[in-house]
Amino acid sequence: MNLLALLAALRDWVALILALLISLVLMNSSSHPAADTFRGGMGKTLSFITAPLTIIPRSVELWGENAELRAKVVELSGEQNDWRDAMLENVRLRKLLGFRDRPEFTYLASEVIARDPTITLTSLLLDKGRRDSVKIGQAVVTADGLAGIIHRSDRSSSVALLAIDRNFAASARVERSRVDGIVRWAGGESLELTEVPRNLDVKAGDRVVTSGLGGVIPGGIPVGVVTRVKRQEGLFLSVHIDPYVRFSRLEEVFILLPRGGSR
Amino acid sequence: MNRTRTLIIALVVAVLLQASVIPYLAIGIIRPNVPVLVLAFTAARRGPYFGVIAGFLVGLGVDLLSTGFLGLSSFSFSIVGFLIGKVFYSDVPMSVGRWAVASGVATVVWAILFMYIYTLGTQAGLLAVLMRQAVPTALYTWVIGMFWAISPLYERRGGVRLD
Repeated sequence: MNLLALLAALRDWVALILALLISLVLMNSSSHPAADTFRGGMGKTLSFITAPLTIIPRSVELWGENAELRAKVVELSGEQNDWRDAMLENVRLRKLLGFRDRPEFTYLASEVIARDPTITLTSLLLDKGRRDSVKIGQAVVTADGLAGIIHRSDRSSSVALLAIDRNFAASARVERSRVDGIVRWAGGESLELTEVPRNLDVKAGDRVVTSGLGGVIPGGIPVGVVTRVKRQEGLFLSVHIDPYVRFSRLEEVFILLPRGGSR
Repeated sequence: MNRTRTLIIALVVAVLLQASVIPYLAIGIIRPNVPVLVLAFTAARRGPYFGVIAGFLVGLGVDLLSTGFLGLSSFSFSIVGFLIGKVFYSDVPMSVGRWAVASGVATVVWAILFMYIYTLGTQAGLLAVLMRQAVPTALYTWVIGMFWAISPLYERRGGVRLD
């Protein structure tokens, strides 16, 4: 009886300790497949409930975006003619040199139906899933560059892990000097190219693209521009990157599907 | 019972808004966090016990809708609910001044705690993350909380606009 009275008197503390203990247990079981399946179901339910709430803000954004895109189409049509000649020449030269053909991809357009509700913007719920051939590990891009990878795929939806997630890593390369490294989150909306030996040539203003070395994300996708290179103590450089993609404004993305079946 | 039902509805609506409409208010990647405001008000009006329970449940809801650590939001929200309940709980309707302090403490503690745990084991500098993400998010959330405090709904939900 005394114990019950004591527990009742300390119920605030008991509730807090219990809540924290359960939270810690949950943190340790985050990657459990059952948790993933349950979260997938929650995401779909959420998108069904919240879809009507987003009609007005989405329409306003799309209106502005439409005008921007029309201007861009005109600009890109001109550029496309110049690129076509260069591409044909590239194909001829690659054949002459006996280079292996690059794997080809198709772009599957996908709409963002929900965003991560936590303080960090680390994931997006997309409206395409396994029935559209979306699989874990496929690259997610926008017209500007690399946005992330597919982290989970259900029948009709999938979750994209953005490049600004703490667990994201992709092999990348400095376009000018061909220096390889690994792109990781560096806080906020910025990225860092890690594992770059300190004697290699990297400068502010260099473009960083994916290298394709990891075998997960194809090479050549723009990642961002180097903003700062710090020659710190130790073996590696600290290379800060400003990503091309504005993660907070993503409405539609493209999932890269390997052409002619799964990879 | 009626108050509890209202509380549950408010928390559920807050989580739904957070995942749908609130991203449109983003400045860069900085977004206000409505669930933490609802939680702070709940804890200050109903005490630490309800604060912890509400914090845990709303945190769990947020966790289930994200891809991050399951349990990270429920951990940080539970602590915020407890802290605000312990320090700011009062029977009398809450003045705007007291709400300003309570919501300020809640948003700052939550944002710092969350980002501290989130960055553990990463190469991202904690100070940079706090300055770029946690503090601006806390400030933005607090401003939204103050807009709510000067709205008519604030008085209907148990607050008073004048001391």
